[in-house]
Amino acid sequence: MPFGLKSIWVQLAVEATEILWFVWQFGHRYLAGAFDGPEGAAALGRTMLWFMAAVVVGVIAAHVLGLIAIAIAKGGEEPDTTMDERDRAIEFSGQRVSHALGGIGFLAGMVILAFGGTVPLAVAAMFVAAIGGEIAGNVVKLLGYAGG
Amino acid sequence: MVKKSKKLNIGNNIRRLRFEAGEMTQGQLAEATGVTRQTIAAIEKASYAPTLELAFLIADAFGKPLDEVFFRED
Repeated sequence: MPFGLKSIWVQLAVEATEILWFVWQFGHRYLAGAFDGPEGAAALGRTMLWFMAAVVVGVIAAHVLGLIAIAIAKGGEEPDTTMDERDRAIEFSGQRVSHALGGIGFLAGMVILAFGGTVPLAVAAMFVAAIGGEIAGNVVKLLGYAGG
Repeated sequence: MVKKSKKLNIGNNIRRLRFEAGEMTQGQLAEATGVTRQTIAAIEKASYAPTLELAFLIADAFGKPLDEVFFRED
């Protein structure tokens, strides 16, 4: 399995965990009224920043742990991280899907606001679409590797 | 309306050329051309069409002209 493919599986695992964790935590806080009142916007901002940082740190940490695991499994041999034109083509096709879904999420957020939805719900919709887009993009990449 | 470009079916003789080059492995060809073994495997079974640059590099690795490595199937 090429390094790029392993990397996609790691990202998928982290993103899937993050999205489930976000929906659970955010839903819990939203229903508890954590984003209501004059401090609600600041609480929402802090919550979103925290989750965004968690995604970045989670992916980096998982990659580092993955590299260590590969190094141990291969007796210290460095993994082949070659990225060639096929990897880039597959990467591009996945990114197109990610960007499209991210854009749809932004649109969904605006629609929620336009029809009287709350700001936290709109922001949550955008975040879920962004991470969901990354997941869908990674699935497209896996299909790209499987199909050639 | 955007016009779709024509799709060509492109075959290749990489498997045979590897055999003729002293049973060269996909990994050796990958190393010679700077791509992964998986990319060579995908090109060999025609599930991935290489760029013109990589196609020339593959032909160079065998010391053959491009049209001896890749050909039109239709």
